[in-house]
Amino acid sequence: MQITTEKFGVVEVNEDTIFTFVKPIIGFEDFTKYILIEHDENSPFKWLQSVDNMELAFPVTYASYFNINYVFEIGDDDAATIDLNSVEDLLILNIANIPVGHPENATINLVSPIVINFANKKAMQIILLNTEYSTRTPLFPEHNTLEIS
Amino acid sequence: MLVLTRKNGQKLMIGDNIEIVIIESYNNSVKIGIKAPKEVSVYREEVYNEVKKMNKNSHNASFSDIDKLQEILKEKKNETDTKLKSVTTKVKLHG
Repeated sequence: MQITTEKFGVVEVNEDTIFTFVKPIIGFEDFTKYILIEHDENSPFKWLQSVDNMELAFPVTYASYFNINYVFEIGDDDAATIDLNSVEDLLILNIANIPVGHPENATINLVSPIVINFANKKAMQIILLNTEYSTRTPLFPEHNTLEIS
Repeated sequence: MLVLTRKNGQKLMIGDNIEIVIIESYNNSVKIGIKAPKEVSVYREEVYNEVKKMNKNSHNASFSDIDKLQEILKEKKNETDTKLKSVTTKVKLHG
């Protein structure tokens, strides 16, 4: 199928690569189907592009690329929600915040990862409870981060 | 808003399958236990709002800023490579 997107124009989508958010991205309850689009070939960033809303695309990346030690437990209920049976099927992505014009102040949200079951393409955004992680972990800690209000 | 008074150990039912128990209360804070079906998510309100805010803010990101971000990453890597090179001894192996 073809979808039209604001950032990437017309994109040919293999339907096997569409993720279904069985629990939505918080604040975007109306949109549950997404695909991953690469930023460029060697980039640690991907765009989580909504299939149903051409304007909606989240930049996502993974913590280990930035040498961030990232460990958390997925509860039985959450695992059941995406029918996760094996850790091998698990894909974890974190949404990035890149202030317009100030990429040096980019942060990633480690409190609410995107959890994907690769085997069945079911996905959800979870919120870690009782965690030490931040929703605004700087990718370049030597730079000051901008306040987002 | 419905307002109720409960004692420690007493429960509330919300519908048929959400159970809330007041475990203890002290010093202006209350410890609450919640039993809910797995499809019902329970969040601390301020954390939920923060995540929502960060999600909403995230999708304003521009393609070109990620390009720039990758430039910064590359520069940092080059810096480290250069630093490392300056203190590394080159050895020529014979034979």
